[in-house]
Amino acid sequence: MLRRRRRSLRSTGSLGKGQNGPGQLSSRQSQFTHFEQRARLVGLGLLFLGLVLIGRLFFLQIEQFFHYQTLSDQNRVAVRPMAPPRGLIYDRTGQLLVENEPAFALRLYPEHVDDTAKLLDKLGRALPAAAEQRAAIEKRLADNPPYLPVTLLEGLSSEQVALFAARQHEFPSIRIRARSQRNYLHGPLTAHLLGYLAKPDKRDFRRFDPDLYPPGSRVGKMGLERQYEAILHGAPGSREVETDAHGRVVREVATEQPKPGRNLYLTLDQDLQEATHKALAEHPEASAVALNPQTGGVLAMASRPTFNPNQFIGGLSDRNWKELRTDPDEPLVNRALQGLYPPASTIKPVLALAGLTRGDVDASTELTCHGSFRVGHDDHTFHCWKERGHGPLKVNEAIAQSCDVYFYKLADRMGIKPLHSALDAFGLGQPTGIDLPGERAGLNPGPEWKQEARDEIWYPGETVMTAIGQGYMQATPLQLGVMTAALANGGKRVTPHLVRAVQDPVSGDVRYPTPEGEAIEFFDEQDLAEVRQSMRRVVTSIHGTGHSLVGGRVPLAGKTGTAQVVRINRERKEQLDPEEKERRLRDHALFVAFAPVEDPQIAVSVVVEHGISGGKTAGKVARRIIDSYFRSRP
Amino acid sequence: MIQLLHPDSPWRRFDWPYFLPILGLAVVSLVVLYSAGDQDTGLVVGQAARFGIALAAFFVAAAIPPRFLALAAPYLYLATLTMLILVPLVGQEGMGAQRWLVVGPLTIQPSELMKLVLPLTMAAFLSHQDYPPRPGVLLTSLAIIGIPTGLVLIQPDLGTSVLIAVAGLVVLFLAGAPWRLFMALGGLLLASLPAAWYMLHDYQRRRLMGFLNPEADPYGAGYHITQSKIAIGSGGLTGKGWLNGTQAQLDFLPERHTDFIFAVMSEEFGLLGGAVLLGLYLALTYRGLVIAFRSREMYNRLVAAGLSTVFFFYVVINIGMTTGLLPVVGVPLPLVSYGGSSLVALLTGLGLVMGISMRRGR
Repeated sequence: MLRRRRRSLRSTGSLGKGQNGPGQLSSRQSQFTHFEQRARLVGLGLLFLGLVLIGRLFFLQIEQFFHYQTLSDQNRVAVRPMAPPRGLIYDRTGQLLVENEPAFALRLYPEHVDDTAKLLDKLGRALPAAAEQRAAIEKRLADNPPYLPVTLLEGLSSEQVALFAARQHEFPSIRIRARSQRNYLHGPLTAHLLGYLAKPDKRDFRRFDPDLYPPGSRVGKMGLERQYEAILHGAPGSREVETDAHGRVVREVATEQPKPGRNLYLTLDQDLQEATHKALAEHPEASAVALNPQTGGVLAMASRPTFNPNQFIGGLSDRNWKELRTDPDEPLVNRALQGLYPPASTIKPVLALAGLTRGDVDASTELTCHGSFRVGHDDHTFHCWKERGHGPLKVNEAIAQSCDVYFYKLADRMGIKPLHSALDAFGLGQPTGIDLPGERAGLNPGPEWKQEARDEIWYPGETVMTAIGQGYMQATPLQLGVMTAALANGGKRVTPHLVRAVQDPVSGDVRYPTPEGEAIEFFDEQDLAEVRQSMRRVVTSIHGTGHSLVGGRVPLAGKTGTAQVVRINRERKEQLDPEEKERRLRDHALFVAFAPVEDPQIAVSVVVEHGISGGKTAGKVARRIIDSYFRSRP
Repeated sequence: MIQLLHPDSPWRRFDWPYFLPILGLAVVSLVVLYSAGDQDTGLVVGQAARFGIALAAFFVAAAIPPRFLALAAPYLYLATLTMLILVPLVGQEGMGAQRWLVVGPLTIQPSELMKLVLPLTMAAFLSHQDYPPRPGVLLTSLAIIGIPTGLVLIQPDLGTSVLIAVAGLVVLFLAGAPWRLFMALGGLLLASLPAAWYMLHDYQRRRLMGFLNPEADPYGAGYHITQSKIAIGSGGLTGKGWLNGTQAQLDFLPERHTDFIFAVMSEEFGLLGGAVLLGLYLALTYRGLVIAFRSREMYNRLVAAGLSTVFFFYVVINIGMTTGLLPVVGVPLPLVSYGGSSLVALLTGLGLVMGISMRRGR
């Protein structure tokens, strides 16, 4: 460099001599020298910048190599969760109640889309559903960050899938994604029992391990799907895949298979379940429970109105969902264990049993009904449903004819405490422990409860009201079913349950988690026999309140109940037309029964809201349930 | 042909040491492009064709006698300046800025033209002045630089306006302008930074913020830088191998065949590949400076040194931006990034230097 500079200096000098004066020459020469100084500075500066770059590369590629290598691996190797197949649910005979079926969705990978509007136009022409839901799709696209795939349409029918698949080549940025979804084979018939699935929310993750629910998972929201979530769900597996920046799989690296959910075998008899719904069909709001009185296994449990859970899966539209949620008839409520009703006369057999056991009355004691009863201290008159009165009655006819005065008098003799504990022993006022979520406890009132809840003392008149299952008393149809089962099976309070067995689909192992019942010990065998005979007389006695149910396939014993409707919600009242208002003020009809009378195999509890007559409306439903249960059995 | 072989023909003194690094860079470009462009042969062939056209421009530029260009420079400058003034009036809009003029079938980006014309003009102007430059000359020089810089800045095109200013200032510096001037300019720049921030457009601010803190928004404004750094860093010493860069092949790198092609190269060829590339650039630039030293005319010296310096500046800015040292300003990697117009402009400039080198003996 140095040598060259000298040479160039020389040559410049000779050039300058010819053209410029001596003053100019020195100026030119010093300019040249100066240029070379400056140019060398610039050259050194550039060299320095080059070294900075090399240093930066050294820092990134050598110093921090492992850091960036890790980031690069994370970039391209993604762990994709594999959803576990959810456990299936069968009824007692092995009939499938819910299956898994593939559900299809369209996913857009937006990175390579230049003109979304044009793409959606084209999609709308190929798939009319996309045009219909255009606004919703555009909203989802607007909310979605541009580098993440977005679901355009969910719940495609197989026709729609075929339609799109045929034109897939026109939509390179859109893919069909298959997911497993539930298909409830009996739809509304098992809706309250099986429940449904939905996207998990924060509250769900307080109960269930979030690690088990990769994005896109569903969680049980109701019914058995909720109760047995941990058993049905299984555990997700994973696929380690190499992906490109759009998340598309290029190659599979490793796979861990998901652990499938376990299957449930129910105590439910699907044929009976269907028959129960059919028997209830003419009543807009009603429910019925059929139990195996020996084990507590639920044979059928129906609640009306009902809903179709299959609508929830294919992306129930917001409007439909809101309608279901806000429907004043509450189709989502399982009335069999969430509906609270005054049990009315259905508890009379238990009171009779308590009276007989305690010796307040015996089988031959006659108490006379004049149509009303006056409670000593507070001078309040209580009427029998039969205004003329029943005359003198023994306990068997008092039950058969459902005489109120007999039980007023009996309760008056007994006092509230033994009455309360007898009902308590038969399970009223406490959850039955059924394996379904949301069960309500009802209320078995007494002085202690009243003191605590209302800070008031208990009046004797309230004892009398409680004796006929009115007043504060509230029970669910399921509780009445358990009570009836205990009367039927000789005094064992069973725990009602729906799941008979849990099956591991891989090993085939089956587990039987049948819950134990609890013996009720306060009574005498003979007194119970007397009460059961009395319940038989409800049907067989010419004056029995359930006499219209006599005959049929097998002999049944039962008890009617008619619960007064105190009032309707005022807000609700204003919406109703007079005829409907009148209907809504009618009494609820109740009936509990077991059959056959000797060796009972089924215990039934029916509540028909505004059904007026326990013996006729509710009793007819019970009769039909029992008949269809024995239709298939000798 | 006969003319070329004539003893007096400048082509007999063709500067191979200057030309070979150019060819080397062309080869690197095509090899890396094949990998960055999803192994699309059509892309590579297309870029090779552009190279051919750009080389034609190189030879034409080399054939024009520098003296002639020195005379023409003021007129070229005025013409380009006129076009720059026309841009906001009749120009085409694109990417939130007005940059293009459409003249018949041609789409001209006058700001790109100015990058080349300004150093020529400055060299032509300053080589006729006394030494050291008088204050009046300095002021005129600043005006010659400042007017086009300002016009481009308001298009708005921050990156190009900075490059135009740098090209002019480098020539001014080489011509011996006093240090005080540059210190004063630097001070002025620093003082105007806060005000400049408010004058920036939203996308420019986003880019700057993305540069200052890419991790804050790795999928948004910082995505380019983050992914580019991952690509380069994971390349290590020797790289993942040609066509094996996962960042590039799996689409994580955006703009990987244009502005971010250096990240692809570094991922697949590692630090060694990067050093070789930088070596080629340094060789080319240093040969340009040597040509400047050898030349006997001030104009030629200023042009050769100025263009070579600016050329290397592009390299520094591009690599600085892909490695996260500088904000993302959209400067392609000279001669290597995919694209035709910048290639033609660059090789025209290098052709001018070649022309100076070929005439060094006379």
